[in-house]
Amino acid sequence: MSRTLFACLFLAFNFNLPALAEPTAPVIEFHEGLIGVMKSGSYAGRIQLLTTMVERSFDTGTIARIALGRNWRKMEEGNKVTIRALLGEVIVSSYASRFPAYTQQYFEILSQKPIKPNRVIVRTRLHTDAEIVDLDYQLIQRDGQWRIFDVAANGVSDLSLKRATYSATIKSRGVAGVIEELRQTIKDNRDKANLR
Amino acid sequence: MYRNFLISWTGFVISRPRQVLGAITIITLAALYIAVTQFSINSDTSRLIRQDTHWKQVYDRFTKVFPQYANNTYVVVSGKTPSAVSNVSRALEKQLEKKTESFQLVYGPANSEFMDDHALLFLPPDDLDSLVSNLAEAQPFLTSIARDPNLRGLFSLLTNALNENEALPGSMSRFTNLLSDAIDSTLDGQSLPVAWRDEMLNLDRDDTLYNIIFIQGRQNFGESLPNAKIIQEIRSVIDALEHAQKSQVEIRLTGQIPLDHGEIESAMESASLAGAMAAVLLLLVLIFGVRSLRIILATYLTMMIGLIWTAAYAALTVGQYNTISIVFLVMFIGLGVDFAIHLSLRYQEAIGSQPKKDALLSTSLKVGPAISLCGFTSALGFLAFVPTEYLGLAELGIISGGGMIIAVAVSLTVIPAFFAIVDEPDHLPRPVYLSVLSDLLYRYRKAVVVMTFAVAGLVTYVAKDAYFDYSTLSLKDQNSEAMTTFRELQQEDVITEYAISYVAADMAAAERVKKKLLQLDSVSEVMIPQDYVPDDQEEKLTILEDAQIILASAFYAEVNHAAYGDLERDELIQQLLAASEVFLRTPVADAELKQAIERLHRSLGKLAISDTHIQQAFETNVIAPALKDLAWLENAVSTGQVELGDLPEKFRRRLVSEHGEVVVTITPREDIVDVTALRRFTREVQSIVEDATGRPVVDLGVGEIVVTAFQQATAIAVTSIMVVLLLALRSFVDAILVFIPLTLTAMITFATSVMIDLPLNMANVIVVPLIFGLGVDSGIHVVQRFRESPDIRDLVKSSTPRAVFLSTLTTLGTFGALCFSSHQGIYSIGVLLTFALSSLMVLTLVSLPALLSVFSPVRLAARVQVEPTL
Repeated sequence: MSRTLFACLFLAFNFNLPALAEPTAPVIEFHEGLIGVMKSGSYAGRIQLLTTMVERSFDTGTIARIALGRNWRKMEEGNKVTIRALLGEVIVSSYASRFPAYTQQYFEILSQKPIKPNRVIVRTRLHTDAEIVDLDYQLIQRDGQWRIFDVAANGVSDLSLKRATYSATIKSRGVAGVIEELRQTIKDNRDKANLR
Repeated sequence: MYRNFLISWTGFVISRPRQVLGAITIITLAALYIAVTQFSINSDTSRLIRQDTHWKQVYDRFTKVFPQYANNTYVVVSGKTPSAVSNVSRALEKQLEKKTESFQLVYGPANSEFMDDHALLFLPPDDLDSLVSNLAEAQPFLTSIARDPNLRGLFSLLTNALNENEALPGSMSRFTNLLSDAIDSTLDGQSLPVAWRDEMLNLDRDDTLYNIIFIQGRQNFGESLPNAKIIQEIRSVIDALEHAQKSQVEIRLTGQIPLDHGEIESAMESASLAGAMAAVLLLLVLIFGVRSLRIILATYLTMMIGLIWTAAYAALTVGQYNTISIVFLVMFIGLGVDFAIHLSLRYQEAIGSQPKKDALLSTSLKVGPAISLCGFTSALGFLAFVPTEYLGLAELGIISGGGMIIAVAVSLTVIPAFFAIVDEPDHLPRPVYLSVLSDLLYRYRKAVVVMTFAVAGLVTYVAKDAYFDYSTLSLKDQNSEAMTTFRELQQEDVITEYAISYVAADMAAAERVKKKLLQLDSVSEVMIPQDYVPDDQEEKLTILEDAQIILASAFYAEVNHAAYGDLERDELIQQLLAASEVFLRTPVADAELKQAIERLHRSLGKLAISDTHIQQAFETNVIAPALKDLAWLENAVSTGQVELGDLPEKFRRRLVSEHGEVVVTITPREDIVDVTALRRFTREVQSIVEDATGRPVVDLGVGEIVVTAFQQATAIAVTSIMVVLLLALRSFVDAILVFIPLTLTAMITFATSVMIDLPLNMANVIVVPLIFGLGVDSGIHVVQRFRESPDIRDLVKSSTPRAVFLSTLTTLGTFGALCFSSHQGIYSIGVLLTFALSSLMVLTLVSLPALLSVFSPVRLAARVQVEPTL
């Protein structure tokens, strides 16, 4: 009897959760958005779409904090705002340059693995005409909202790459160096896309 | 009366020399038996000093509450490869733990499971942050192995990276070098597993890492295992240890037990080396100085007999040698021979004008009183330490004082007996240089006197800076493994041997005391148990959470179960080989990367044509340690808060006793090698906590006893020798004149100590009383001879200066031999005595005759007597 009661309570609790509280939801939404981006044509158009998508689904605050480590905590507020915004732009521009056109790609949600009460890994797979790429998203829940802060493509984590790069930069060239490098990456992504 | 005794004794000896020598032979054989069978050397250097002092009681109480700190041997495993240091030390600790019959404590604090789990919390936040960046660099490689626990993930990653070129991670060269190392090591048969953990922990450092295992020997029936046995046991375990990474580390022993053991060994070694050298040097001096085989034989024989008798006497009276008194056996070679030389040379001089029997009698009569007096004054110099609290030198005093008397007795017996049965020695013509020297000295005697006083002023000025080295470690062989390791640990801040410890009744008391102590100028740091718990834990745990996020892809990897075997492995190697070849065909801007890929290409080329089992071994060397270290890392980055109660029992017991008493450790702000700083630090700390202990307190306590003993002994030696001189010479002026070269020599010795930076220490403080005890001999000989014919030209030409010169030279030879000792105490005695005796010889042979001829009342009387006949 108690078991039934527990099940009822559980169900009731589950039903009360808002739709976006499901960690797969932002990933599915982002994937759908990406298909739209691929179909949208111009680089500028892709950027426009992605800017809203990234703002909605990505946690640039967490990304900045982990990418810059201890330096982030010591940084002036003004620089923090700048870097956070630029990191968003880097993500936007790299998606815009990596997904220039739609060639029947599709995404598949494989599974989700809770790590901590507020962290989860969502495993997905991207099928293109040339290859299959494992995309593992790490999400964090804040104020009831799940947001992406890392994507690992075939096991190579984007956040680790950022941490490795920017911790070296900040050591050698300081905060200004990081800002400069972020701007350069955004420019490189644009140039790459325009070359295609 | 003594003269009568000498005449009858010498008469007795020369009337039946064979029987006397026979009796001496029997006594010597018995003495030899006693000396050899009873020989023992006290290994406990702390027993050199009186034991019932306050600081000793405090120290004993401390080791009673915290017995873990007493009589430790530190096994120090060190190297630049962290995994090797840690793995070898753990393996060694396991082996040492098995020897329960020998060791009651075996403890490597860094080897515990607790440290495994919480190691990262002990890193400072900055290092921890770099660690996360480093893990971020390694992430692609670690995750690839976690997803594919074979070469597939890793090699596909590298192949893709090389093919795509532009997306190469910055850490590429570092990891391909790691793989090249692994291939090479597998191919050359060493087969070292990849040290992934070291790569993960790489904190941009090139430091040597130290891992210490503390060992205490087992106590049996209250008796502790002899130091030599403990060290031998530990060494045999170290030698027997088989470990793949053993060649990457250095394993050394230090701590109280090896330091003490090393001191005994170096003292023994020094004594036997110096003894052998002294015996050879003595022979050389005699050959060049005497040139008579019979005299050489006589003096050598006398010295050997005296040495054996003295050794037996030492065994029967003091019972045990200590690291300083053992030196007397060497000194005796030079000192014991002196009396025989004086007797022999005088006999050689006398035999020219008299029959043998008369010559022997007159020699004993003329030289006997002088050498007896000399033996007595030398004994006084040595015995000066007996009434002091410095037991080590008091024992030396008893042995040496007796030894000097024995030497006189043996000389006065063996020399007449010997020459009674052998032919007379060749008569030596007086060397020409002596008459030249005597004329010069006579002409410039006033200048010599002035010079002497000038030198006296100068050296006294320099000598005022002489100081005493308080460190009890300063006597030990500074180049021994135990000492060099000890100093290294001290310099690297691995141990804080110069800290003061205090036992507080409980935590609250410790905290109160800490507050007070921190207000002292001389204190830099005060550690209470709470301070051993990692600080800034909140921040560190946040950083560790970053590490969990960075490596989530590895920790939560989904393992690829697709078929994998020898064929796949071979193909992966071929693919990577091909990719590296293609990569190298295009220009590479990054020189480091180019070099790394070239190296990988070379190594892969060899691996590709190797047997399957080699390829398999390589795979195991890469993959197995990676999985193991990833598991460790996953555990280590998910550690939680740590409190004092979480520290392992064995570690906590070193800080908090069974009854809740806690250790407070106080570190000095200044380098307390300087005595003023040592005293200030110790006294300031003691003003807050009287019952404090530790090396500073002990060093200061011992040092003060030694300095006081030194002052007392010098006063005793000076006074007693002055009294003897007055009684023997019956002339206040002559006694003062003999004292001038002695005081001057003492000053020269202090000045030498300043100039060659060889401070006074626990061992060489004996030198000053000895200068008076030994130096007065030559002075007495010279004065006696001067009185026989009070013209210094006669004096210089007589056999006396030659005998003084020769006997000082033999003493110099043996003391010089001490300079080659590894034992710093013995070495410093040797050096200072060599300088002292050299200057003493010059002063006695040049200054003293000049002083006598200018100031001595005997000279005036003589002139009155001599002048009318001229």
